[in-house]
Amino acid sequence: MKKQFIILCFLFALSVEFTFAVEQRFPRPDFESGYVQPEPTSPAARAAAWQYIDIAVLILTLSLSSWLVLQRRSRNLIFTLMLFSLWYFGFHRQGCICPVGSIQNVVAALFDPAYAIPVTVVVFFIVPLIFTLFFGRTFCAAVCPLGALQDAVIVKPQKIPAWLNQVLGLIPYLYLGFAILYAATGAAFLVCRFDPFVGFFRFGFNEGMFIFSIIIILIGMFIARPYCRFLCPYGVLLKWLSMLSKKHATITPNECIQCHLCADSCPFEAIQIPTPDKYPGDTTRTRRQLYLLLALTPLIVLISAWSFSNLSVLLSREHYIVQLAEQIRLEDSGQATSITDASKAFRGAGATTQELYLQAAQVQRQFKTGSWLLGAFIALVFMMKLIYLQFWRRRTDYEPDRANCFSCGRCYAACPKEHERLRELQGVLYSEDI
Amino acid sequence: MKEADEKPVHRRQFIKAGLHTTAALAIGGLAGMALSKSAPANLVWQIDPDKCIQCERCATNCVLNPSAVKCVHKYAMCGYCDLCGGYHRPGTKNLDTAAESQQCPTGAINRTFIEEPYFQYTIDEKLCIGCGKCVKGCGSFGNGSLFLQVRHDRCVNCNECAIAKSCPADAFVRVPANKPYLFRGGVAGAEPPNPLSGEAS
Amino acid sequence: MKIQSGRKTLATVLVMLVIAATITWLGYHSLTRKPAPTGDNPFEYDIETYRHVPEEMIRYTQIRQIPVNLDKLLALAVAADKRICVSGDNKILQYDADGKIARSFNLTASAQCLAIASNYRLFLGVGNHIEIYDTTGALVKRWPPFDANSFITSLAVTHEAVFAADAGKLIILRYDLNGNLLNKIGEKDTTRDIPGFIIPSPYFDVAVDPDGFIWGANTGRLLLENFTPEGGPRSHWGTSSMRIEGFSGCCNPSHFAILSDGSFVTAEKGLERVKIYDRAGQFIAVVAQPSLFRQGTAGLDLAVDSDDCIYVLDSGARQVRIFQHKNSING
Repeated sequence: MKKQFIILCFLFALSVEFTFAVEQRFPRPDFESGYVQPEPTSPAARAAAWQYIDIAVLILTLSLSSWLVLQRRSRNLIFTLMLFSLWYFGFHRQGCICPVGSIQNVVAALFDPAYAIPVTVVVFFIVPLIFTLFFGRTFCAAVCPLGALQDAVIVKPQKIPAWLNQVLGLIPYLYLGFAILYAATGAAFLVCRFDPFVGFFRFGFNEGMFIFSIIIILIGMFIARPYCRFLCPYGVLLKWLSMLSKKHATITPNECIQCHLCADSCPFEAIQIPTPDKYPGDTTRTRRQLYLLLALTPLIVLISAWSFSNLSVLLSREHYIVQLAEQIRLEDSGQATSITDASKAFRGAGATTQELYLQAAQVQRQFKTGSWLLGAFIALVFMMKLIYLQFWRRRTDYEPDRANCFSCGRCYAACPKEHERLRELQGVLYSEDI
Repeated sequence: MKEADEKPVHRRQFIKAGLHTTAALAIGGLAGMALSKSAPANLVWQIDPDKCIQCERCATNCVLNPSAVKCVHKYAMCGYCDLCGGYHRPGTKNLDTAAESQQCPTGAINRTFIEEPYFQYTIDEKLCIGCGKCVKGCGSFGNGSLFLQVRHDRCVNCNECAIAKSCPADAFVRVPANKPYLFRGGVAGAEPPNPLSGEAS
Repeated sequence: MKIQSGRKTLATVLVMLVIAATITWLGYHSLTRKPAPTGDNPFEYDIETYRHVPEEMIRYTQIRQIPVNLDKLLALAVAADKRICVSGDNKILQYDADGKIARSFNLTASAQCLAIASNYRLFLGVGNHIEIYDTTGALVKRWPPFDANSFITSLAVTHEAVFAADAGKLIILRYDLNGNLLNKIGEKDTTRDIPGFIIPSPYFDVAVDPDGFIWGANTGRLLLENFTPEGGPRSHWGTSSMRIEGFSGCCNPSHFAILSDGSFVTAEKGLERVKIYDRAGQFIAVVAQPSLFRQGTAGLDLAVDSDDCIYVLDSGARQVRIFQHKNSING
């Protein structure tokens, strides 16, 4: 009902414009030479059929990727599929809409009553999540064009310290929080604005983004997939779901012989090595730390929420209406150094300053609530991370870290058991080859 | 915590299965909520010509070069003037097609004689960069038959349109892809839309 | 082993070279493509120089303004007793000489133009026809349209005739007071040296001078043209120029009125300015400079009262502005 109402409002607004325009186009000259007035052309937007082809390609590539990761176990084929996705979703589709950015459209649909989200965008958001919930991050492995571009430029991956890995790994949560806040308030689509790869797909950058893109690519040659690991907000959702997934890529096709060969093959440091039999630390101390953290969590969450709520006015400055209201206020009080195009446009449009201030106050209230939630969310993520680190689970085998494994398949070839399997598949004795 | 490793495995599996189901339900719920607010047609960007103030950002801020925004001429609204506010440089004495008489920075407007005293003005979209200079001239002195529109044979439909983001008049709107233009004076040959018909889905 | 690692190094170097080349190319491509934002708008449509008017040219000053509570203001007329009528939003508003609202009544459609006869009857141009109302707002008569495609943009009423500017048919129609069409004025006629009106936008004004001759604004030629009531061509004046002495743009003046001494008040759109010309069309003075109006205000309808005060309908600010000559205030 709401949707229909919005569409009706839109059409009504259009019809009002038309009556106005009909008035304007009078009078038309009387041509005597038989001249026929041409009509302006209106080249069509991308045909709707392409949307369905995109969805079909998305589902096909996800299925194929999952099969390659879980059944076929072939890094070469995964890489080939990844290149295809890079071409199709990246260079052919030119980046939009991608599941990473679609988070914001979904958020906008939930919070902005005037925004009706296209079905395609919902599908692009949901389908990779479902696949991840069942098969792990096979989307990252060979479907995401952003991941594919980074995967293709990995030249000499370096290990980074574990603590740094953990700390940087928290950035995506921050990014996700901010992206949701800004999308929900209608201020901006941050993820799209700071997408370092879409410029490559379109061969068009602005100056700032060009430098950022180049830095990410250069870093990506030595620290594998930096955006995926330390920025991607969609990766946060995929992490959570991958930890719960029904199936997941395994390093060895059957049993782990604990040879350690796989551990160095992963450029993302997403392979967990076996632990000692007994917890190496002081159990009582760890437990005390855990209780302390649990007790502190509500307090820290509150402090953080409060701190962020104090920043809400600052954060709201990114919103168009707040910027405009601020400018108008400065101009009206004689403090403005210059008049902007936006204030000129506003004054030309005939809305009253009072209405504008009311709208801006409304936006700032939304930011106030949003900042409370954002602060609480960020503190909660940090505390959960600290709490999680107190837990210890015994591991006997080499296993992929489900949260951080991209299912890229690089480790398959490192496993002696895998070679055994392949030889058996081909009916060749393993020993002959040596 | 060390005691976790000795606990029966099935408890952990039970919790995991529970969480798995919860996650599935959460995804379903999110999808349902999003779909309840969805529109069948894709959305594309367009300029509302009545809000546009011809600030030039369309020419410089598009991710494409040249911009996907072009000037469109609605002939039915044109006065076919000899002295065209969109074509001629303000204050020019010579009503001719010499370069110094034209105000279009790329010479993208063609002026052709129809019959005394009428001239037709045509936009060459290959040359148009979407700066809106002619739109301003036509809107100031003439009937406003020239206006800027996002041309969908060029637009790549960025999720966050770089021009929309910088538009000072908030003139960029998302419109359904099957009706992707907001022409002045109505779309070619089309009846003005009836607010009570169509889009019944 | 050695061969393999050599091959690997080679591959690494190659990949790095390819990436470096791509980056260089993209960098060149993206950084050279657009003019650096300098703050100057290279595409600015600049008529600011023409918007400035030297102070000494402005001989009139605004003495009063009357706010008009309508969305779309269309037309204005002032009667002999200085009552003011404004048309807009399918309505007519009547103000008394002090600017207090005396009466308002609704119409079935908006009146594009209006004129007040000496008996205070209202003549309205509504679309393609003329309607006459009495002082209470009751419809007296509706004259049949001259043509279905007629579009009446201006009316002038004298003691014996009504002159209607028809922008649809590009002529001025002369009626007697009973609505009988007497003759057409200004129709294109090469044998009589009448070039015909060119009306590119819906502004086409008509007025009668103190000698009883008819003036029409040939906006497409940026001229005021003079005819006898019977349609005989007499003279014309006007120059095309953005400068203060000329008429700007494609189609101006959008409105004009005639003062008691036969000099002209003209209003332009595009460059919103109101100016005075003498009987021969010599530029005399400025009444209102562009900076007084919101940019983009079109259709500044004009009226003149018995004291030669000038009434301007400002549709942008939604008010009637009344201007008086500076000398007559001082004296």
